[in-house]
Amino acid sequence: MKTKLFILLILSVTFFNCKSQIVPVENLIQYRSSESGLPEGTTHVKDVNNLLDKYVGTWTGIYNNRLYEFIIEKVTNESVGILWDGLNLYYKITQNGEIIEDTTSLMPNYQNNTGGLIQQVPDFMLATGDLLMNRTYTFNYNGRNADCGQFGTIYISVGWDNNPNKMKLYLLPGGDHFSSENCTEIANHILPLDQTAFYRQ
Amino acid sequence: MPEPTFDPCAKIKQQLENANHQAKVNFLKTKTGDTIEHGFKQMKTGIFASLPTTNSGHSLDFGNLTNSIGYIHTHTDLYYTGRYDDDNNPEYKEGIKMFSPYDLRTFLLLVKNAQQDSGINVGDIYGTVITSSGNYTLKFTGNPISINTNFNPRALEKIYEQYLDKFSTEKGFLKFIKEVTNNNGVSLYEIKDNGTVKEIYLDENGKKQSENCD
Repeated sequence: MKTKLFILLILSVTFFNCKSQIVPVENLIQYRSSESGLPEGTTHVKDVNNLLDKYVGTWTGIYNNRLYEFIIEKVTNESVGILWDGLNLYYKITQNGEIIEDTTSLMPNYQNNTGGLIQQVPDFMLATGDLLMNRTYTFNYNGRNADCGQFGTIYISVGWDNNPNKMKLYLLPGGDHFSSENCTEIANHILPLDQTAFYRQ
Repeated sequence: MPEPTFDPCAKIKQQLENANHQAKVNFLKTKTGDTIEHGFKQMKTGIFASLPTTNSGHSLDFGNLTNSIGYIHTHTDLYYTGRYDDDNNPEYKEGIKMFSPYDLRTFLLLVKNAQQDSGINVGDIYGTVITSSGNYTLKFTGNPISINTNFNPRALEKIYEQYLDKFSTEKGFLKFIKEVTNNNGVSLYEIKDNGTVKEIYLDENGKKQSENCD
């Protein structure tokens, strides 16, 4: 009996050690720039507490006379041998009916008017989610002219005025360096630079 | 791979003894708590040129790369954006205390330029980042012919952060250079405040190792 118990104990310890590590998305920020990185054996940075769901949807609003439509989707991507739960952000900006920018063709289920799957904007324009900090979620953003400074971090938070259908969004431009020598225009930002309200549709 | 025709440790030590260089390092060390980066590029004449800010003060502009032998710049600590979420928690920007993919690419372009400019030696090319948790310098010790600069550093920002998250900062950066940008010959050195220089590298098993210069 004792031997059986001992074997059982060994087996459960082994099982525990081999167990794949799940890291909740809200804890990722603790590991960013840490000495050791994510725990050994991390297989999934996962939204175990469904904290990302409140951002998902279509949001519209107006900033500087432009009409914005943001579509936020929850995704799981595999990279560096880890599954990462996160959000992707797509946007369509119009002014007086004219399209200023539209990245919705990057959506996985996108079909253009002719039913084809022709991508209209380059891949690097997909705004991919990064960190969850309290009620704020951030995206890495590259605009069409990312080489000339049109890049930065998009901040969103949901629940403005205790309204789950009201979202704050703004772009914190840049950081980093770049070479402006081939630029005709530097950092002409088209996303709101001030905290702006958008409403769930 | 050919042996480098120069001693990178000796080159770094020589640079650390340069009074102009010391002044720039000491100045930049006081600037890591700012919300913007600060930096200089060094011309082949030895002169340091301040990098102007652009993008509403949010980015540094390197300008033209020709005639430059290197750069030294800060990466900021975590800083508050001055804005708040709906529970009044301040929002902040995380600071990555290592070269960015764009920093790496600029360094590689400088090495490539050196090949076309008889007035610049590859051994003199460097890139330096000053952060509150360590200062790092890049030297190129491989074959410059094999350099790959054909990558979009902005588009790689996401996967770069995933490398750092998974492997930690130093190891993640070294693995990213090799596995994502397909470059060999980029050597990473950490420079301590007391002047000690050590190379940080990955061994054949991909394990991080370090070796002091001298």
